[in-house]
Amino acid sequence: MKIYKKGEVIAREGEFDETCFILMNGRIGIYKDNKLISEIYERGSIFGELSSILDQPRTSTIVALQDSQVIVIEKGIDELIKKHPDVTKKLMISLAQRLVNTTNQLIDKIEQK
Amino acid sequence: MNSVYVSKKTYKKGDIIAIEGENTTDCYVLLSGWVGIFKNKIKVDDFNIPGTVFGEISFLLDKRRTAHIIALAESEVMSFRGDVEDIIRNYPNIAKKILVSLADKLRKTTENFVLVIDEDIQQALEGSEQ
Repeated sequence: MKIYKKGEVIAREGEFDETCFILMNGRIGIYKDNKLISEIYERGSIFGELSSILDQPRTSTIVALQDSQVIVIEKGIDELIKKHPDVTKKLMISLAQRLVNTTNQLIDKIEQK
Repeated sequence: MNSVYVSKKTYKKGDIIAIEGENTTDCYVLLSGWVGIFKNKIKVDDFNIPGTVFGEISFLLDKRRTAHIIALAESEVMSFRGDVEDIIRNYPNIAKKILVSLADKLRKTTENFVLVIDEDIQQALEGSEQ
């Protein structure tokens, strides 16, 4: 568990690390090209997982918008699977739901054309 | 208790592996061949790399198939069903494949969506200039 102060950078776009995070309380912002593209405030939310799973540099910068308590999973996805099967399940379901939503939006857009 | 069921099957070219709307929750791993995902007759994805996971949406969300899955060439496919947490505990490699597959598809779909939106914005801008 780690506490990030308001304004503190949790991860930086372009950086290469395997860490993924679980929000315990507080508020997190995801920035791309200095634009806020998403806010995370729900307890138990997983973030920073795409870089961790895909083993790619960060595609966005993660900043604490308030003082935030965060579980840091440093060895990334392998550790998560091994030590937290319940959280892994939640992560899978959340990714699957996001994929369904994005795919539907994409299909709608393609059909409109 | 381990409640995971695993089986293996070979599909011929053109065989339907799963039908959109069908109430089945198997998750699949491609062992060899070529498989396509079709939604409203639009091919939304296809894969030929052994180890690719597909059909995981119904498996994870316990919902009806959101797309048709069709063998585009003769394909050998492993399927499994059961409790998600049992799979994570007993088959961590498969769990990782599922995560990687979801993350990769999400990234691809998001990129495509952004491209389509960008086209819209471009068109709107061009329209307003005339």
